[in-house]
Amino acid sequence: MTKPSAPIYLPRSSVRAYTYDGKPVFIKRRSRDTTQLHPSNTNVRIGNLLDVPIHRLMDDISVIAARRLAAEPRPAGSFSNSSSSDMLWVDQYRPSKYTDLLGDERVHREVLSWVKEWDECVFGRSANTRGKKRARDGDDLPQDKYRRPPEKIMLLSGPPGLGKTTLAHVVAKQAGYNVFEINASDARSAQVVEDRIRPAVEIGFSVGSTKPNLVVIDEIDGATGGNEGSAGFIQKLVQLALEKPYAGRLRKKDRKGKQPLLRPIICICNDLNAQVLSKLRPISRIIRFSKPADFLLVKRLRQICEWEVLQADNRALSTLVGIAQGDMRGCLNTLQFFKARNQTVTETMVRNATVGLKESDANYQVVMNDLFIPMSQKRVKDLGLSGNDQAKYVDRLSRQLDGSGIMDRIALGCFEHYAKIHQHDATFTRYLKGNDWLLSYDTLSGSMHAEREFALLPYLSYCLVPYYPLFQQKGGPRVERPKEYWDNYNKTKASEEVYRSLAHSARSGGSGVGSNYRNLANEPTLHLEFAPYLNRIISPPLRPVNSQVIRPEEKDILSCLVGIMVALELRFVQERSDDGQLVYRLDPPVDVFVTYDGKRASDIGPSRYAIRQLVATEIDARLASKHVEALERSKVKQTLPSLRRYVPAGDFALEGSGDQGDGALASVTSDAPAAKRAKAVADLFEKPALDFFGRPIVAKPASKRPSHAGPLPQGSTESAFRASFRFKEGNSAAVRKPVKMASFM
Amino acid sequence: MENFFQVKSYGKKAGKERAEENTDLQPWVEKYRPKTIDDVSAQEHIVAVLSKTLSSKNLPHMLFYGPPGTGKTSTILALARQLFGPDNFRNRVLELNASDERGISIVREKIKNFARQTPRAEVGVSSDGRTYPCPPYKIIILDEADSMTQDAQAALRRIMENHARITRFCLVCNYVTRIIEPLASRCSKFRFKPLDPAATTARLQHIATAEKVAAPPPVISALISASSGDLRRAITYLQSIARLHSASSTETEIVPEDVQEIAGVVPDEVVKGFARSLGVDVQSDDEDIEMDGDSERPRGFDAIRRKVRDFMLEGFSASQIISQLHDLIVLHPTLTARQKAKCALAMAEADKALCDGADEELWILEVAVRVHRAVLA
Amino acid sequence: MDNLVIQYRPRKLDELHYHHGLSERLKSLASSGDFPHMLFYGPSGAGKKTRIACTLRELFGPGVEKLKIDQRVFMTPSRRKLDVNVVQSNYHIELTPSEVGNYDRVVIQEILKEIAQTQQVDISARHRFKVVIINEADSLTRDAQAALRRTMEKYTTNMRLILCANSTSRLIAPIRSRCLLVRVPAPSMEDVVGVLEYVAGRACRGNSPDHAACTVVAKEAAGNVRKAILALEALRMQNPLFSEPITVAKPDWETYCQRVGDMIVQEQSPARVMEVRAKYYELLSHCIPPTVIIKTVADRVVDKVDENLKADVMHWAAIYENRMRVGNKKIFHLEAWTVKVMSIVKHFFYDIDLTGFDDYP
Repeated sequence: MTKPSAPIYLPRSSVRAYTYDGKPVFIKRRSRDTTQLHPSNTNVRIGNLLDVPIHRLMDDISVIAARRLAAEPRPAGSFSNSSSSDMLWVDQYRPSKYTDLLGDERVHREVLSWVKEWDECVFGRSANTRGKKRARDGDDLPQDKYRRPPEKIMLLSGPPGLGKTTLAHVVAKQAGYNVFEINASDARSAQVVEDRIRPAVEIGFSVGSTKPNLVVIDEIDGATGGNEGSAGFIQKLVQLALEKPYAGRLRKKDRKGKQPLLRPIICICNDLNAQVLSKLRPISRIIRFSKPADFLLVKRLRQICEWEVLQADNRALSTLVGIAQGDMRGCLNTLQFFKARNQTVTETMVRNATVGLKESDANYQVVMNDLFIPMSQKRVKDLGLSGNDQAKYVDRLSRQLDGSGIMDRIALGCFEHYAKIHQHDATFTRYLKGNDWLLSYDTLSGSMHAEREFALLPYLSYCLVPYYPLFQQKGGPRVERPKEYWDNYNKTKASEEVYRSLAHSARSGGSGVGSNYRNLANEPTLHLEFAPYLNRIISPPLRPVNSQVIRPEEKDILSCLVGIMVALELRFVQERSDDGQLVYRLDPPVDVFVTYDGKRASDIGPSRYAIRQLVATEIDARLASKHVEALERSKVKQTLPSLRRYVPAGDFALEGSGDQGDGALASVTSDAPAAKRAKAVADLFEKPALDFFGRPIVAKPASKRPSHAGPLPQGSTESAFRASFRFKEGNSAAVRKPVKMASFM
Repeated sequence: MENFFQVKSYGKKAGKERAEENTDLQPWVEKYRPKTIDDVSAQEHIVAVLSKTLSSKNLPHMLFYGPPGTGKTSTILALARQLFGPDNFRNRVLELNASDERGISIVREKIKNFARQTPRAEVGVSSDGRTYPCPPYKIIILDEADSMTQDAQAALRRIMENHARITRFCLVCNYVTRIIEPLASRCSKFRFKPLDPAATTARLQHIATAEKVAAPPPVISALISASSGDLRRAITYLQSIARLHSASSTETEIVPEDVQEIAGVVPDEVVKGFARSLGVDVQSDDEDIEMDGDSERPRGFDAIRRKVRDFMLEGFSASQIISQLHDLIVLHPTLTARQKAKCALAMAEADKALCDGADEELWILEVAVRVHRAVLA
Repeated sequence: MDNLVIQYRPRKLDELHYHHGLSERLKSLASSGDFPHMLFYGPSGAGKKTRIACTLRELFGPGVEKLKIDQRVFMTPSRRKLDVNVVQSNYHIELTPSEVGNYDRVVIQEILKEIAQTQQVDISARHRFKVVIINEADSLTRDAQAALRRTMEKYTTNMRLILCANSTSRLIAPIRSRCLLVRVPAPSMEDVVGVLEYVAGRACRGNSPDHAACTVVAKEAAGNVRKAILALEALRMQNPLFSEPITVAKPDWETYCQRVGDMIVQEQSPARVMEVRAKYYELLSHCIPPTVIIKTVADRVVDKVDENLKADVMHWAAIYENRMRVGNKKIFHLEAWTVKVMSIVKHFFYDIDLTGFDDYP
């Protein structure tokens, strides 16, 4: 992926003025300066447009298009007609500003708002952003000395070609950063973090730029799937992100080496569950990408076609999008390919050309067609065969198979194709024969690979030739690429990953809690016994009620459940589904093991949102108490003074409204536990609830407290109920209004 | 190390306590490994040939092959010890086995380097006061040579020839066919034949008396049949039984059934019961025929399947069951040769499959069904 | 509070619920001070590992329960890195070399050499040797087993091996002959019920399941104690009062496999072949081992088809299962078996002559 150097798109120092919606507040420099500064730049046209307000941009585009339309001499097949045609369209039409982005706007907004959270730290100018600060001042918590967001790293995940890298770049520019990119071409080692990333974030600015750096680490899960270096790389990165601010400040004076992270880092990965990322996941904000709606892509493609004067009907474009499965890059490349040849795009062209969209396999098609379709007269002539030769298929086909070099894929193709052919085969004779040959192929190739016995190679092709006499048919269904097998392969890999993380937590989780799950972590046991039953164990039929009115026997179950989930490091993570609803997702998603054909097992009740929420809060409480206990044991004395400070700020702690079960902050009345409890409260303050704009929400204390929630007889010493709540985020411009506590329960 | 050998070999009385302590935890297999080649059981021919080399000091390259537990490794170790004595043993003998890395790189480096060294001048009288012939060559023992790769074996060819003057090779393996022909042809081959029961009995009894274990003849014969000619296995079993019995609180006699349990042999009655349920007519020595009276006649596939499943739950090894069933059927007095052949064929296929790692339950069931058909046919 | 399987796992030989004779023997072995290499074998869930852990405790005392969990990295000659999870205490080390597939020999060699060459430094230790536990020993490759055999003799002063396997068939004879074989059969139904009642009585204060409920669970588990307890746990969570009717959940893959079996018996057509194939894919993607798939489906098919066909169905299951081991793409073999079975069923149904199937090739 070519990455134009940063100053191309954006003139220096003027971006700060942009707000979320892309509306400029002030412009310091005109674009001319930039072009003069970078005369060697080939990408002038795009760079210019950026600084122009949207309506002007549109005008410009139409003018350019009109001019081009008029000027173009339309010589058929000439593709040196315009200055830009030597550029890949992919680069040319890469979205360069926020509003150009396609896809789920919520995701974009979330990324941008996270980057914006760094403003205070990076630009130190939050005070003069209009109005925002006012709400925040007063009892604003010093959550971080450097006013950084709670998660220092953002992790973007999603399948390839959906525009994750583009988004990162665009957002960075939008927010006024200079992008510092580490991509797959760079080595992945701990050394890189030290040598390149650390200087980039510490110095904060690139040479010759006034804009602060934003580090984008592309393909962090590693193109090769976690080789040796990458673990150290991640380790170092985590270390970098976690360097304590206070420690940093102290040391900063003595030695310059260890500074806290002061610049945002965005990591991009394809597989969120990859093992190497396990350390990174907990400390980063995770954003999942999904494929943008097809119609958006079609719209964009249509626009591009207009600009490029390419006639394309909607059907052709939507076919293209459908085949590319949301991969915009693939679409654009294909379109450019058409453009090079002619001026129109039709559906059939798309169909023919996309044969080679994701991988070039014209070869495959030819071989498969020859295997399954009897030769046409034309082809016979082409190959210069006489009638006699035509009948001798074995030699011809085996040579062809040998020459193709993709025998494994052809075998898969045969496997997937033969059953689609509608032939009368009442006794399955042909099927049996076909399968026998396929098995011979598989055993041969299996032992060939296992024992490195490549002398077997010449025989392989003969195992596939029999498909010709068995299954050849005129006008049968089209031969397609073997897809199912790889789909399945990918799914298997994904489940293996989940199993692995489950096994890992079973091993390590067991030792931490004093119980011992590691005997369940062995593979067959895990797959066949533990995983299915575990899902039943963790989904008891609880009623979605508040934890204080729960029945005692249900309380037992709940505490059991929480214990198990804590020990196995299972969590419910709040997330937004595709349709914008909040859901609690199990993490790691062990529930895939009871989901067959997309349906859950019938004997496991559907897990309701409310229940999961209840469980999730209980787990948090249990973890907090565990954490506190650990702290307690080590340093009782140090914590006490700092507690004093926090206790008055206990706005969030609506006391006594919750029964903590025997979990979190149980039944203790002495002074020390009180301190413990307060500390737990303080823990919460480390992560304040944020509103839509990323500002901490401040509960208006007295007015919102619902009737003191019926102070329990045990009084305030019994337990402290901590409720944290956040506004429902969404697309609508969120408006704050007072809400009764009751509506959250 | 030097010390250890001294104490053990000549101060038999003085260092007895010390030696006791050392040998106590040793497996008997090691403890009673022959010290000289004359101690080797039942391989008279080989012993005779090799003793000659002791006096003539000349030794060819050697290839020892034969079933496990017949004394191949013991023989060469004893021979080397007798040739070089404890002092020179370490710098004259290189022993490599399958637990060592023996890829082609090791052959090229380690073996070649060792083979290349000219042995140091011989010391006439060893530190233990005895004289060893100490001939002017070194010995490289490649134990379990059949698990070496073809490439590694091929790399050995030249080394063997080039350094033949100062180095002798001794290859030890179970399957001579797995040694490549060029290598085998450079060696003089010694076949170690399976031990005959008499020799084994003698050896076992010798050990039993030395260890003060009461092993009546039935136990010894049970040991021999369970170990099928493998002396090492027999000794290991004997030691295990002795351990179990010396440790248990109640003083009991060792009985043949203990041997069977330890050797993983399926009890005869169980095998007979299985055979009976397959329709094979088996005479039982016990009276429990009446008890299983109803199961004597087979009742089709499902009954067999249930039986097999019980077997799996009992945890018996499939290959063991099949081999015992094989013995029972092949020696059966009334079945026709044709029936026996059919059964044997089924079992052979199953054994192959099991060797390849196929699922046990499926294959026992397969054998059971086919035996059932063959017997009823 | 905690998972039942773990919480009530016996930790001493005396606490074991069944196979008392075996426990007695293990105990005397452990106390004799002279401890051989051992091979525990038996069906899954019979309690092999529990017995091993108890024996270790008997050998070394409670110190053996102080565990350290590690991920060790090994290097193959071709410079590939292998990660192996290793559990160890001061007295023993436990690993599953089959985790790394074909490279297990490297792991075995490295670990054993390392253990064998280090002496026990702890003077208070009861024994001079360390114990190496190798799980899933029956899935070790031939190479790895060969690597084990001589080491077992050579380093006996510093090391004892305990192998844990489902069956001895796949272990080479030299290893079997060097070990003391310990067979751990599956517990009988009454034993399982006993264990369940004990566990439930301790865990579910007040409303513990009655004998009948335990029997239902035990019957479903078929001698696998671990499965039985997990099922009980699931039952307790789903139905805390153990009220009637008690239904024991089957693992999902099992019901799914049975559905596949039904599909094969109901209809034999190319379209059905495709449907079944999709189901196989689904199962495989859930990491269900193909051997288990073919066995479970075959079991179901056998239940449904005519008596005359049963043997054939099983015969082909055995054949194809065996071939599958060599092959790369398991789905080919599963489908080939399915087509075979369909063709047998169809032939039988239309009463076409069966001679081709009676005689085995």
